[in-house]
Amino acid sequence: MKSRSNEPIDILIVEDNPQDAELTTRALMKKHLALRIFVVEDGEEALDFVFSRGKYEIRKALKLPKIVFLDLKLPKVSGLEVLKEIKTQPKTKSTPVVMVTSSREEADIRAAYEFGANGYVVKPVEFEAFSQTMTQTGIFWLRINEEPR
Amino acid sequence: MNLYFAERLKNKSLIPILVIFFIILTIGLYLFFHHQANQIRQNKYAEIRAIAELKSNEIIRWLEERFLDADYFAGSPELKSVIRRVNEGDNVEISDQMDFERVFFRMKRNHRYEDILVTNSAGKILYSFDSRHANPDSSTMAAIFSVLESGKIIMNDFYFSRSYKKNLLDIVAPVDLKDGNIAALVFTIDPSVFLYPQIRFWPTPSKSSETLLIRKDNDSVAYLNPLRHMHNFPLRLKLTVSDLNLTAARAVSGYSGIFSGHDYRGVKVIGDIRPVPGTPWFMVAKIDKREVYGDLRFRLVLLSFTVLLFLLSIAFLVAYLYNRRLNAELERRVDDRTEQLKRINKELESFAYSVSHDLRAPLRAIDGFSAILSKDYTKYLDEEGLRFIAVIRQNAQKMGSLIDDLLSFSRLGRAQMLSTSLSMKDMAGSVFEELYLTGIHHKIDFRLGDLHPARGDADMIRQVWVNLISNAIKFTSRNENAEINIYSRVEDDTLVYCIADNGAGFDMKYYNKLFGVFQRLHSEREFEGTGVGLAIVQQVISRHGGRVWAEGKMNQGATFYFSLPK
Repeated sequence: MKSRSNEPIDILIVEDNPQDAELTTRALMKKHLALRIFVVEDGEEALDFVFSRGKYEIRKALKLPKIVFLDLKLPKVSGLEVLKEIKTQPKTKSTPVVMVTSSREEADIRAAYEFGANGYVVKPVEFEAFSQTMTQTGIFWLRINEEPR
Repeated sequence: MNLYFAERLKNKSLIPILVIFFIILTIGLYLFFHHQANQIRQNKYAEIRAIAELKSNEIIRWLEERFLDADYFAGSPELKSVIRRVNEGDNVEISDQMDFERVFFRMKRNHRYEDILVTNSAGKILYSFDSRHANPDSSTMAAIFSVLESGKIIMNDFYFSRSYKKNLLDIVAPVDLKDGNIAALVFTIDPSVFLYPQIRFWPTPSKSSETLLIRKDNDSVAYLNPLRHMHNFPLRLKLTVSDLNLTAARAVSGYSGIFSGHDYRGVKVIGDIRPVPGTPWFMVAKIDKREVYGDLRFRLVLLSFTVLLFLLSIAFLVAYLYNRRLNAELERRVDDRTEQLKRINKELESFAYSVSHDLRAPLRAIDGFSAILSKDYTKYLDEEGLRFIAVIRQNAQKMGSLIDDLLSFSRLGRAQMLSTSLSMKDMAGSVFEELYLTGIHHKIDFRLGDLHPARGDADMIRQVWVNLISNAIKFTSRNENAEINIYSRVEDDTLVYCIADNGAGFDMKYYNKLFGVFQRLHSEREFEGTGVGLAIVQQVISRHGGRVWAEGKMNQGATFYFSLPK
């Protein structure tokens, strides 16, 4: 279920392609994993959301998302820049960020890890594989992984 | 474009410019030397004229002195009294001889004269220095009689003396005895003592300069002094007056001044000719043209050589600079091209990136929403509808794998190679196991020989094995008893690896399409695939410096070979 911007959330999906976002959301919802998902469509909005700026100012009192699914190729501010910003700010640097992208390019993978990504997942084209990949990633970060309180 | 203009410059304007430059230089050189030649000629003329004048004056002065000598002694009272006394007696006594000796004592001692003669008024010899002169030469006698008659001092010009066997010259002076009688005093001069050396001497160093004293003898020119360039005896050489190019002939014909012609040898000379006043003589001071212009010729050769050398160096310099410019131009173009290639390569990379990212997203949407449709909306679709959705999904997935293969093909072309030593047997074996164990496969008789180890990039060579072995598995999938045989051999300095199967094979007439990207020799229905596998094999092997080839027959199997440097 999509969350409103003034509610606490579990997963922040940064994805400019609405169909990809919808498929991801759907896959996660089907397994009843995360109940609170929020989607932003570009890098600038992602940063505003995470740092409670602009129209997301009301989120100041709320907790950060448990996991960020971040696409590489984004309008305005690129995925790598968003990642860099999150991983250098004291307030956000311990928030897990998993790159979720179509690119299997070696250079992209290396850059993502250099900037501190917590994971790198390539989205398969085939739907079953895609659903499986997304739900498994979700299960790991929301159910298996322990985060600092 | 710049290169084109440089070429034009070389062909169309550089050579004419050089030619014009050369012509101007040649004309300049000619004018310069013409001027120089004039200058030298004028200088030489002035020099010769000055020398001729000097010599002429010296000769005249010398002759005057001789006349004064003769005149002085002819007027001596002592001489006159001795002559008178001797003239009265019939014979010349020894005491008279002694008296004469006393008068001419000094003359005799300093040898200025070859001989001194005294005659009486009848022409009879009263006294002579030299006993040889008892019988004087006919010209001397003629001169004596002429003086006795006229009472005037004269010179008896050069003559050859039979008694002395050499050229002599007489000064004959009258001795007035005051009693109406005249006696004669004769000074005989040997010109080789003073006159010839005086004529011969040239005040500046020269190889060919010469002064001649000449006289006209009837129709010929008589050379009076010894010649520098010919062993002659003075007076013996006589040349005809009518040859007006002969310098000497010009002189005796009355011409005076600078003259250029030839001399007695026939050699071209320039000289000054002039009469010697008060004498029948003419003087020629001359120098060979060769000597006058010899220096100039030497300078001409030297300067021409220098100029030629200068021109050549300029030409070389121009050629060198031109070449350097051409090289710089080429280098600049290579740099430009390299830059361009780098940019294109970068564009290609970002293109590949876009393809990998952007083309897959729509496919995912197509496949994803089709899947949702077929799963969650089954009740609204009949069987045919569901089949259509399956076709859509199949094609979307196929497109996805095409993109993946294309990307890995382009990645291989750009990837860095890391060469290590490879155990080919282990690699081929593990690849087969991996491929065979994933997925349900037909029964295959797999034979793996002892493959030679090789050197290469592990990931890339592994990809080669994957593509070739998976092809072999795929194309034997319809065989009852499939066989795959892998072996290797050494050929010259290469290692050759072979993968033979007894599968579907291929028609050799399509061999040229076998390794092309997206080229397939079988229909999708027969054997699925994207047509990139063999293109990747070829790409990898050629990057390793090897070669790929194959043999096949329809339905009888195929053998693929690849070679690697040993």
